Amino acid sequence: MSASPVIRLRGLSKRYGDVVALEGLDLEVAAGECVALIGHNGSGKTTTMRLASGQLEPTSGSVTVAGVDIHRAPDAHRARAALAFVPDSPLLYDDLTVAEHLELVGLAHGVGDELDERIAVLLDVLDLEERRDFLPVQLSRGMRQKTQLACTLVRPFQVLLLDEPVVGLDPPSQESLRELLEEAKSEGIAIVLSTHQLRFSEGLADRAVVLHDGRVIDAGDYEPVVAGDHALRLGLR
Amino acid sequence: MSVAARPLAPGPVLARLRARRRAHRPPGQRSDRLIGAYGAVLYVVIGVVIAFRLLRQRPATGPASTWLTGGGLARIGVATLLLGLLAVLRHATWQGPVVFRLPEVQWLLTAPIDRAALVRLRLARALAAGVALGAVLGLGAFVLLEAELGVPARPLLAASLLGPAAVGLLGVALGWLVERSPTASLVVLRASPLVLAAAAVAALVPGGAAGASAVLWSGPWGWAVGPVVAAAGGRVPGWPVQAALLAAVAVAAALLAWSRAGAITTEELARRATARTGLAASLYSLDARGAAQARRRANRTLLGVRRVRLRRPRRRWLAIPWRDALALLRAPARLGWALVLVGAGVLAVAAEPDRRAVVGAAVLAGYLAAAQLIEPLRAEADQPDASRQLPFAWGDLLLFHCVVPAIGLAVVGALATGVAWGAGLLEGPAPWVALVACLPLATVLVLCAAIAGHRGRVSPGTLSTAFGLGELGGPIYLLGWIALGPLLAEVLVAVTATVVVDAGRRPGALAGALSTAAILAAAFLAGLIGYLRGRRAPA
Repeated sequence: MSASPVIRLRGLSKRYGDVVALEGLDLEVAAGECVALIGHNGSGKTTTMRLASGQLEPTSGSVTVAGVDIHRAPDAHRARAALAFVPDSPLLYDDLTVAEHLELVGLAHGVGDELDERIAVLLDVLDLEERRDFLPVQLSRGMRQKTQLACTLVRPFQVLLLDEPVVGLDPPSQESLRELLEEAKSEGIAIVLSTHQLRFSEGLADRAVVLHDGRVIDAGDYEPVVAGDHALRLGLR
Repeated sequence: MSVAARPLAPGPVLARLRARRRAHRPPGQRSDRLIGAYGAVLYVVIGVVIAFRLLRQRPATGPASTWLTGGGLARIGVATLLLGLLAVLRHATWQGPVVFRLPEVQWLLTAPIDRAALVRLRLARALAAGVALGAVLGLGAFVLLEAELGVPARPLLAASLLGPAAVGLLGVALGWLVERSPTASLVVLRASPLVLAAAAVAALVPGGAAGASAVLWSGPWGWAVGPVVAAAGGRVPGWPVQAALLAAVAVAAALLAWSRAGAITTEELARRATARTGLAASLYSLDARGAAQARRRANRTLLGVRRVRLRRPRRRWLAIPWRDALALLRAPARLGWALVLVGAGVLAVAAEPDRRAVVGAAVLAGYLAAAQLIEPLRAEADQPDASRQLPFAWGDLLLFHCVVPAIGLAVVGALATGVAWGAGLLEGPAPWVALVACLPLATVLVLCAAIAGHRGRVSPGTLSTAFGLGELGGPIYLLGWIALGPLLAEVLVAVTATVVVDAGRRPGALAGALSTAAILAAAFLAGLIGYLRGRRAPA
């Protein structure tokens, strides 16, 4: 990898008592690169995502974004602003509509005059326009997930973390998301996505990391890793 | 072959279910319930007798008797019954007299069993409970009135029991009619402010005995009170007609409810069953706000989204205040409650500035108003991960969430001060001092509420600590956890207010006292802001 990494995970571990959720993960992702974390349920994908986004504190190791430790640096929240995270279950405010969620996030991140245009594009691409004035309680799970995605994409960021982003999305929405991610890659965004739907990550991810029981068992360029023995043995393809 | 099935009578099905359940029921459950009910009845009877004797020993106060029979009883009685009926009907919009459990909705109500028969089993119990509850409340009223007035007991007892019991029957019957109709539920929710205003008018209507007489003919709530007033020695010429009208209306409503027992959709019953599950879970974990949210969620599908637009500001730091203002506009009842609480507090302090208990109660009312307004901050604490998509440190986010509530509470306080001033309760420099104090006072109250609210719900750790401390220490620990915000507000505001109120009575001391109060308020504000700013998001 020639370009300097935007996000760097060093010796990242998380334990709950005797239970090892993640052990010694090292990962670097450069601008414009996409890395797929693949593995079964309980393999450590979501733990990695939550640690990398700052939602969990690591037992050991560090996560740095543009050189700033997002867990320990005094201005960690500024570094976190460069991170955009789409969790596996949407986290929305009960009392804000779809459009207001996007306005809030865009405004808070200082998106200026182009905010309305960005909102319009995202609502259109994600097929949310007709539901722009709906509250989360009035949306299906898939629609809530798309709202969460739109919230993430409405503001500027350098690193995009997506935890099982296609769960609950119908095939056309998966395709729209894929196009958005390809566009983000071409704009120099570093992407880390966790999934066990390899059809979604094929052609999108440049590299893959196979996790099993909290440990990395294979890593490298996407095609060889996915075609390799470890992925086959785990039944991932 | 026809696939249409005739509904089965529920009797055999329920008998089979009961037999199945009986096998899993712990031994002695029924006798435990009976012992519990016996104990409750015993406590009520002993309590009533003791209260009656104590009240009887107290010397009767002439002015109170005159006020009661001269229209006071009619006004207060009618307002109370009207509010009680409103409470029952509002309860029916999300719960109601007939609530099935979720498994019953999913399994029993989807089976081809006669729904009307299933509902009637529960409706009959609810109607009986309504009558009993009305009678118990009437008994309480009888004890108070008899001890105060010393009139012949039997007519007063009969009127006090039968009137409220009939209103109880009417309330449950109307409750069922509301429960089965989303349209009626919506009407009840929308008309509630009008009923509240009507109750206030009934309680405060001028015109002495004539005004009170008009109130007694305003509806079933008045017809129930008329015979009580007559038995208490008041003059109500048409009370037998009122009693007959009330009985006829209550029985007609009960018959109508009975006849419409089967006419309710599974969706409505499922909405209530889901709400009850959430309510029970919240109450078991001592989460009063969670219980209120269960009610709000149940009614949100009825009320829909309030169409509110608020122009987006351009500055980043205004993002959270803008979002909070939107939330407040979407739930204006919060502002209404704040106005009622702060209004009552300000008027009480203006009328009785020397009574420390009144000042303490007013601070508590102000705190409760602040707690109403910081709902968005509480929602943030419920799911702190949601805030991670915003570029603010947790402590700063908490402070941003205090901006709109502090301004809102200050405006409400200024309005209440203006009313007190207009009513002649404040004079000299007092209204100006109160107006200037509104913003810092409101900010202190909101910050106290934020300090309590940012902790989120009672955590399993807190509950297990309370249980670990045992019977004596546990409740005190839990009470301390719950009362942290109000206690903090009481200490900080009461100290400052006492300095000013005490100085107000000494000529020439006010200027110095105001300086001291300003320094105290600034110090408290700095401390509270510093504390909140230093908070980190829960991991």
